[in-house]
Amino acid sequence: MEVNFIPIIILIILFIIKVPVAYCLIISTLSYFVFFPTGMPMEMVVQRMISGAESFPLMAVPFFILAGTIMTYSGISAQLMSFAELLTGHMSGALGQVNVLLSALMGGVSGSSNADAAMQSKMLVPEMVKRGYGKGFSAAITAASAVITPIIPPGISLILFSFMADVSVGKMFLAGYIPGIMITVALMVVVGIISKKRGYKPSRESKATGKEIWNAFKKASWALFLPFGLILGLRIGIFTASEAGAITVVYTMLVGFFVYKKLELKQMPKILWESILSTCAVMLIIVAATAFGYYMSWERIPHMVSQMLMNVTTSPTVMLLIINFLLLFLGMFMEGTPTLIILTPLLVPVVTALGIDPVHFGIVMVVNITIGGVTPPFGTVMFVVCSVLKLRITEFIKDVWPFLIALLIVLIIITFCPQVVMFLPNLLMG
Amino acid sequence: MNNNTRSILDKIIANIAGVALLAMTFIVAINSISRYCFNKPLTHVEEVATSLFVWLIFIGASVCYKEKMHIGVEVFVEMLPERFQKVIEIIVDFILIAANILLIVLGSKLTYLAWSKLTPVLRIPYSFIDAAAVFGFFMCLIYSIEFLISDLKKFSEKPISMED
Repeated sequence: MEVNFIPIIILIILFIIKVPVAYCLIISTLSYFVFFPTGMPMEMVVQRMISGAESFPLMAVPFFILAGTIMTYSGISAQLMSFAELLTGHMSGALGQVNVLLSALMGGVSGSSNADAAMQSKMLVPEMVKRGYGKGFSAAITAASAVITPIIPPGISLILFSFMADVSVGKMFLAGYIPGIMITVALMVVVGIISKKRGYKPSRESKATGKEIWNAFKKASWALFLPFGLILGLRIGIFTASEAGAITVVYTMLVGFFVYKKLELKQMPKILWESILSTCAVMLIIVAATAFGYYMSWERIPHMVSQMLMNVTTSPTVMLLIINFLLLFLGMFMEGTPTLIILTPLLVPVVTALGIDPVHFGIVMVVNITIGGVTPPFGTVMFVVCSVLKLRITEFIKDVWPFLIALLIVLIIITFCPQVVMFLPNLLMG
Repeated sequence: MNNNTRSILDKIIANIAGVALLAMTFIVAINSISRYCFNKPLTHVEEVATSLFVWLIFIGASVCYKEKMHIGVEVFVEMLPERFQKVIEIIVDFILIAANILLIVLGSKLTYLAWSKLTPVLRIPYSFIDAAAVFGFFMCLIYSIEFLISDLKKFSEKPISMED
């Protein structure tokens, strides 16, 4: 059977003329039904979209987005920030270190790199600039450290991948920890080296005392222990990922209203509105991709793609290298989430056939795609940071490259040492 | 449509979406607690929550449409001269209007046909769920017509000369 590529060509043309990604997928699927009747009624397209939406597991997405938004309004970020500053204040480039560490700590609450970058651009960068840090440097750290947030559980990308690749969310969450910590350390080292060179000072005279740290830790613990509670719950099977998300929302509300007392009822409409916008922008792409998937499986395209890639190489190492290059390249032009949604179902069968663990592959893919968001010329995280800070992209690029190198080194390590990624999931959920 | 009705409609839509999201959250949270603590899962729950989810997605999709929150690939268009960009925007508006109309037609047909198909637990016609898509795409159609009108206006305006 000849494979029909016309819908894919239409898809690419629509991408190029800036039709929203979800509509690119819908329209190219419709075109397939209009021009190449398969005998199926055309309502199938809408029907596929609705059945894609009727998904209990996918509800984890709005729940965790909502929980993250509530957390940012509930005063938790301020608590986490003072905790981060106590831990790193004595190092050179202290606020740079805080910036990196705060992304890692926020990763346990919010799961989106764009949200993290926007939050820190508003909260931390003005203070950094006031204390003499270069604006380009501050922006570069903020963007680079935003890569950590989605990798540390619970991350929306981890949930999406586990849904599409049909792997356990708990395993994906656990697998994120070590790579997340590796990126944190790598970025902190870069911050330290650059700060020494440029004379960015510590913000504290001496190390914080154990007691100070303990007090800040207690205040921040409501957020710090959340991911552990979630993973424990998933591991012993108390709840599914969606239920965990719903419970997290309730938990964050209780903490925001009664513990930190920063959350107010009148903020709820705004919180809901923001969450709905970020949820539905992603969800419409997912349901559109479900419809597009119908065309792809009808034409056996996933099968063809894996045949094609397997003809190029059957070595897992080379395959991962090729896929990494492909994803980094796409990441320069496209937003991460659509890439993840469209490519996961195509790539996972290939890598599993070569004996690569899909959980390992998922982490590599999520890290890679998130790095794409920081990479000039067209990364979205970069645009978020530069637009909040009113910074020229060229100034950003001047300062971001050492961080990019650090991120790529970590990407290479986690790509070729699966043990690093799989250690925790194998240990705890093997 | 005049501005007053539009703003009321926008408000209603925002409220429906907000209530759907909150209701989903509490239904699922309460259910998992009640299953764990009292060993009594509420059987309707999954179906009610997923139906709300469908409505949330399609209404929310139209809200994103209005706010221009749907993700697109800007890179290539931005390389073109401004005048040309505007022409492409208008072409895209027409494509989206056509797509929304087609989706409304298909969705309506689906909703009509689903009347006799009942959901497994609540035994209500699937039409109540399928209607979410019709409603969502209908709102998208309204917004896309508005975008077309404003893009056409922008196009007919003289380009403002750049000073300094």
